Amino acid sequence: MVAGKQKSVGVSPPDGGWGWVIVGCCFMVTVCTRAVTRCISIFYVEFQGHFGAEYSATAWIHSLVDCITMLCAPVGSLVGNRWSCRVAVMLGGVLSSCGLLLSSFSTSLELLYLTMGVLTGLGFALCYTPAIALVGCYFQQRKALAYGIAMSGSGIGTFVLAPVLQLLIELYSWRGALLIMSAVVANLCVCGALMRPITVQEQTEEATYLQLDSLSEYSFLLQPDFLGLAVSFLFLASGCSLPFVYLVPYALSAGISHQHAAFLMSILGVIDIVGNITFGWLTDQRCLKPHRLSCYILSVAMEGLCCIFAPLLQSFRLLLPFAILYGYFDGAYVALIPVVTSDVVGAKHLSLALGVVYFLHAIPYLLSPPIGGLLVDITESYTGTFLLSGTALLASAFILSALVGIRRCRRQLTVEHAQLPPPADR
Amino acid sequence: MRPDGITNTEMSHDVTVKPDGGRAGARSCAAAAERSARRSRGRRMKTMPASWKLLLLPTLLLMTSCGRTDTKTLDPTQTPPASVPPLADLKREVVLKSENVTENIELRQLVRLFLECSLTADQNKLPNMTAFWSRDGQEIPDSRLTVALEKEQYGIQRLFNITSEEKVGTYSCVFENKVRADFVLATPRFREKRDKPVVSYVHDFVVLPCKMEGSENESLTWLWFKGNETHKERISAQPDRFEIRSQNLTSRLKLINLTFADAGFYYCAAVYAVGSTMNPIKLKVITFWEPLKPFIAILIAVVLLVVVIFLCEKQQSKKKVTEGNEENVDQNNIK
Repeated sequence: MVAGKQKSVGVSPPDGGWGWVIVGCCFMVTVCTRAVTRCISIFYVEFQGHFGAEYSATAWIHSLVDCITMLCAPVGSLVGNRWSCRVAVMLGGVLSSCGLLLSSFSTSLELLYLTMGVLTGLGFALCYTPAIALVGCYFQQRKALAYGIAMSGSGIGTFVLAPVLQLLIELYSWRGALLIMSAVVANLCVCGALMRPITVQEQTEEATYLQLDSLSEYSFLLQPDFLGLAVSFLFLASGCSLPFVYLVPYALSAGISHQHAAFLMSILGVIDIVGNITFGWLTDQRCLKPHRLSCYILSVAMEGLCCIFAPLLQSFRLLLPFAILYGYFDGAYVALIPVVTSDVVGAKHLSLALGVVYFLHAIPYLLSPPIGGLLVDITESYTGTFLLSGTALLASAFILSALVGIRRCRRQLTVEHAQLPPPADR
Repeated sequence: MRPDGITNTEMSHDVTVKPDGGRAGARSCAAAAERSARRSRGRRMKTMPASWKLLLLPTLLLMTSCGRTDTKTLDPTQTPPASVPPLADLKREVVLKSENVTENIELRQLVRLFLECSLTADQNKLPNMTAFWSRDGQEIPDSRLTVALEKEQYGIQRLFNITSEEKVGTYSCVFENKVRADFVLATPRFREKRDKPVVSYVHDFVVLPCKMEGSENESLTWLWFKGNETHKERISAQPDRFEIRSQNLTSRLKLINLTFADAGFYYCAAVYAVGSTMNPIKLKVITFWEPLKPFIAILIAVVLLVVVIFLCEKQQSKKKVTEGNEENVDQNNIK
């Protein structure tokens, strides 16, 4: 991001060169943060046995990390903005590494909540948003592809880390595995070191106004476009995590064998990666670029439709296409979130906007799986949960399409009033 | 079940016996007689004449039932212990064609085991077939029978009272043409076998779990042992070393303040009335140095990489500055 004191002449986004190194770093950051968060559930059995705890007590750890990572995303983007992305990521790497190191010596489950939940989550939050924002600085033409590759880290990381963690737990038990994971997560510092700051042409005009009010920095928040986007993200986050949590139990309850259910989850993960990269490449093509927001709306709507039809699918043969479709569109929209945000608020506010966007993900991520579980317990079937998820996703798509419709109407009006220039953020 | 098949078994003997403790052998008959005599003696203290009748009747009953047990030849499988809780009934049927069949029977409690073997007749269709029962490969005496062909099948049945651990084994019905069915009796096996050792650290504690499949309200007795295949030592709860927590179908052994001597094999035994099953768990104790080695290696690599990256960047920026200066100098020269 902006190394505020630099007075160098801004360059146009390189769209290559060192940019690919940044993409690789962001990929590693996603691996070390999102994939590690997903793999925490592998430790549950060990914690349950060692501390004599119930499943629900250990499940809090994952929820804590996820929630704190998203909740403190604005902190991360603020640090990245004030100082530099490099400082933010390196600090985050040190914090999360310390968190995992302390949890390997933990003597109680509550201490694990603090070290593995709060401290590590805070470290992850400091890394995640600045890294994503920096990719947006380095790319313009091929932004979606760059984001697609960068975000595929969570899928590929989970794929690779899960068996490695199993092996580490077998060799060194959970304490040793956490110790080695803290060293692996320390690689975030290497990623941070590689994140060279860049001042983009757009920002040089702003560089003279160094003493910006914090209020005007956040002025994008009041844009109606961004407000609409924010509300749609709230609905999106409420609906998107439920199928991941409840697909396997639903498949098992429909009479599918354990191996087939596990295979469904693996397919979901792999197609997620494919969706990340291919959709990113697709929406970078000249024909689709002006319609990026519509592509995003389409992928969210398709996901919602898949979820609505899921309760009707009661066999492995029917759930397999569901897993493939859902995985593809899940990868698709994840890659497009930063792109769509930068399209709406502009590149100079991207870092802070991303912080707010991921902050909005936090509470729904925390609340929706337990609410889904409550629905399952009350109705004794998974129909309610999938319908809730599908409705939330469709609502998110609907709000955004309403936003696009209003924008188009507004643009027609402004074109008619020829004095005002067209909106600059397209 | 064939109605006349009952006569082949010893069931008639059991039907006449009292339900609760009635399968009394000679020893228990005497004990029961002594008990009733004691009771009658007690009553005799209060009312003298009427007590004779009270004494006579139970003693007569006991003598008749005891007498009946003495007249029938006792079968080795029919020696029951003194006082037994009511046995559950378990029935297994096997239909044989031309190949031997093995049937595994999982026993969780003492049972009355009804075994039935039906051999489907081949082309010869002999009118009669001899068959006998055997236990652990040895023929049970007086069990050889000649069975008549009925509805294309030769049927043989027997009742076995599995009343103690010694009775558990392999019971087989063997037909004349060497076709046999083996009923293998065993206590339930542990389903989750852990082949990887449990790893833990010196001065830390470790929990070794054991879980058995079964119904919810079943309550098992658990025992823990340490040792190897040949020599096992029973573990009893010591406050600063071992802690055993057993609850229904699961049992947990907690070893506190581990040392290297605590490494080795541990066995948890689920004790049933008909025997016990053991599950081995291997414990490995290591120091913290083991995972510390890769940790330090990766950290050193990280620090080195960061230093190298910063040095390279400094060099590059120095180059740019000198290039920039050269350009300025050139421009000045041109001017």
